[in-house]
Amino acid sequence: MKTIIKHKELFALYLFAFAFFAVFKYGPIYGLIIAFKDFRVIDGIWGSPWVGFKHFEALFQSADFYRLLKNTLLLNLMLLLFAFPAPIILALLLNELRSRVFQRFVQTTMYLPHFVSWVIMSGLVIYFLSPTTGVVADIAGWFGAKPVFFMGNKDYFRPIVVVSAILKDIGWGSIIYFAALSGIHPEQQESAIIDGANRWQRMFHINIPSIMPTVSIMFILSLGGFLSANFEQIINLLNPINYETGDVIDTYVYRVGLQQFQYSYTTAIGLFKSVVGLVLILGANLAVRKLSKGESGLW
Amino acid sequence: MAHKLKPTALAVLAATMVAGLLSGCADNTNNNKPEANQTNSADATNQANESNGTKSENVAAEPVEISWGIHFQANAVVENSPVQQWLEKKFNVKIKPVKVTDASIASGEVPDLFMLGDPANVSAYQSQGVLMDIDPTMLKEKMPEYAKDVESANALFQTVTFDDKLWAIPMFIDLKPYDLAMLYRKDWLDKVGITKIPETLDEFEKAAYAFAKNDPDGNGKQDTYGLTGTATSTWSTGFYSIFGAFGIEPTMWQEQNGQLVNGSIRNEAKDAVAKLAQWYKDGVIDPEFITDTQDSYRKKLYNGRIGTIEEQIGKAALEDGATITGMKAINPEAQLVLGKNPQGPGGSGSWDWGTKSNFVVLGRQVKEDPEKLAKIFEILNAESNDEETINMTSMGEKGKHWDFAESGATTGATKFLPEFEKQEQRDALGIRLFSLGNITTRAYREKYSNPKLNDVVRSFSTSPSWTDSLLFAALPSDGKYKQELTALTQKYFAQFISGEIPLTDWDKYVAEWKAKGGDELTKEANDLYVKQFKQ
Repeated sequence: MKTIIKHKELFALYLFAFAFFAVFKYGPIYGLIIAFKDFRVIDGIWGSPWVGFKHFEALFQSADFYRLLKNTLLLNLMLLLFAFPAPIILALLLNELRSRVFQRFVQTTMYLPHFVSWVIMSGLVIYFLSPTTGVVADIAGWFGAKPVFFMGNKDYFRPIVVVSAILKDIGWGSIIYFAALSGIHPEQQESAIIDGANRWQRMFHINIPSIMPTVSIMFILSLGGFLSANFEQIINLLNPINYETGDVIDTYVYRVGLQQFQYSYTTAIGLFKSVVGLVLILGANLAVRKLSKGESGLW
Repeated sequence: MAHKLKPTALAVLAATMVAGLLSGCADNTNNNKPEANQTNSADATNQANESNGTKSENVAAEPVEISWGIHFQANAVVENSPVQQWLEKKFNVKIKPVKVTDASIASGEVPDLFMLGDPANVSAYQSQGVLMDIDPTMLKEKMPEYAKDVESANALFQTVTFDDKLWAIPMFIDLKPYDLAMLYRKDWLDKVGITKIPETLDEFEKAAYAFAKNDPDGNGKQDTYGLTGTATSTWSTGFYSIFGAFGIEPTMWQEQNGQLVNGSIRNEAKDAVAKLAQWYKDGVIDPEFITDTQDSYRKKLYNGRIGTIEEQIGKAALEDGATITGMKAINPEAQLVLGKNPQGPGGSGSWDWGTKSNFVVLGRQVKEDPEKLAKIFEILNAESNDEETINMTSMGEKGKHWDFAESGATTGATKFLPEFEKQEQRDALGIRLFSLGNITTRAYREKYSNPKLNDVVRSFSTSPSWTDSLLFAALPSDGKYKQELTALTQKYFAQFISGEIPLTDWDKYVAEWKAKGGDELTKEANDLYVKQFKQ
């Protein structure tokens, strides 16, 4: 009680966060039970009849499910491999710049695409990649290359998603690493310089180890949303030709569920995804704790 | 460690605070809405008195409150708009306008009166138990003139009959300005030496090849195409008139030897796809047909990249048509001309929605409230046969928001007056929000339509040569399979046309289509056809 009174401002701040999570995150969990029911609007969540694991059986028996799961896993794995380290590398590189003004300028311009919605961004991507009017085809043309119809070939879909995701969010994602880098005490750098460490050595022995805790937390957090990443981006880039590689669980849920009132079925898919996400988070956290000998990790 | 993490922690804290504040704001606005309504309603009645002096019913009874789903194409509710006040005054009701979405229905907020676009929507909502079944005799009693007019489109009732009950009031249309015909660059045709507007598939093919090969824009470069398509339309695969020339439309149910077969898998579709693949190979079809939409192919026409598109007749029939003015704005020299859908081995045609229009539905709670039901039918009848109500809800006030196109005329085409020409400007006043569209009687339509436009539609539309044999009625398993089958067909057709897979794989496609629910749907379609549609 005493501590509550002593830190009442902090508790007041905490209440906001608590209310947010209670109302928007924990409250809706109740609705998850419709994954085990045949939900009908008029009967409500509680009144709809229980059907056990019917929807899960339908999901695992569906011929499309494995294609969707494969696409989702592959795409997200590629994003994790390429799009996750990109902002870290950007932050480390920009951190080495001598000119503060130039550094700020680059930083700010790279944020900008983050604020453009994927609807517009995808339109731009499709336009840039057009074989006849696109800027990519023009540039390739200077080197004598034949224009490629990127959107018309299913093998290009994943690279397009990864590259455009990096383009859009690299600046925004690097903010947190900038903050971590600016938290490094200058004395460390100064003493390293006196000891004769060059830039590379300082980067590998001071900068990277210092931001590692932030990196590992971001890594764990990004695994939580592992299977539900980038819905808006993908749905806007999909077309009949790249369906085979591009159709992921979320786009399927959108098509089948939200457009056709199949709420129970799609909730079951959502629940399945959440379970996979939870397993990944727990596993990653465990791994990070083991690797850092208990110093890092979320808990 | 904690020291280093500080900025992170701060960022997270700031983010949650902002989120908390925002959610607080959202709650506040919701709470304020009803209050705002009440305070405004006094003004509302006054304004309504001024704007309309015609019908002054003496009202003793408490006004019935009706929650009314606004026109589904309108983006957002406008509270207490002038049109709403006018309706409230005229019918002694209190209207609560709401925007209907699948999500709002799923959360249990079902309006008393709203509109749906397709039998499939009606079926989905009905299976969720939110609709009220409608007594056909009541419809005949309360809306006698409309009931008589809609008789010519009687089959529409079958599309919204489930469990032997009627779940919606179908609206109908016989002359559709949105029927598709071909639109050509006339100046390009002249340039390549084609004097006759193509009428057959062969003539169309010649023109398309000439557009792609003979440099119709005269810039010395090979940078033009004949046509493009819309492979990702929500309901089919584009190239409607080409499939039409072979006598089918993908995704439509059509009768063949007494049985319903889906157009997606008929041999005629294969022939059409073979033709399109040939055109693609010869560089006549723009490779971007995979990503193009109706919007983007119009732009390609404007920018001189393709020479012909499939266009809604109403948009290109008269000098002030949207596509004609759009073309002139970008290239004043260009000339456009409409042509009929080309005649091929299977006749001619294009995508045709038939007599189907939208559907009026009632929330199931209305059933327990006979007074409200009576009121709703009174309003529906007025929206059907009372010129004043129809005009007010669809166009606003004469002389202020709209007038007849010819000055002084009392019938014929209408136009919106300056400052009200844009849909958003009218939506702000509530015009369209409460309009039900094609529930009007034939007499009204005749009086308020443009005879010139009607003539053009009549001469270029291939309707009613065919439409879906089930008039787009929803099958029991449509929810499970239809979207996926349409996606499958789109995928295969795009691959066949672009040559990515050879046409010899056609049987593989058909087998996959059948296995993925197509066989089940075919059976259901035939059952429904025999039970409710076949004459």
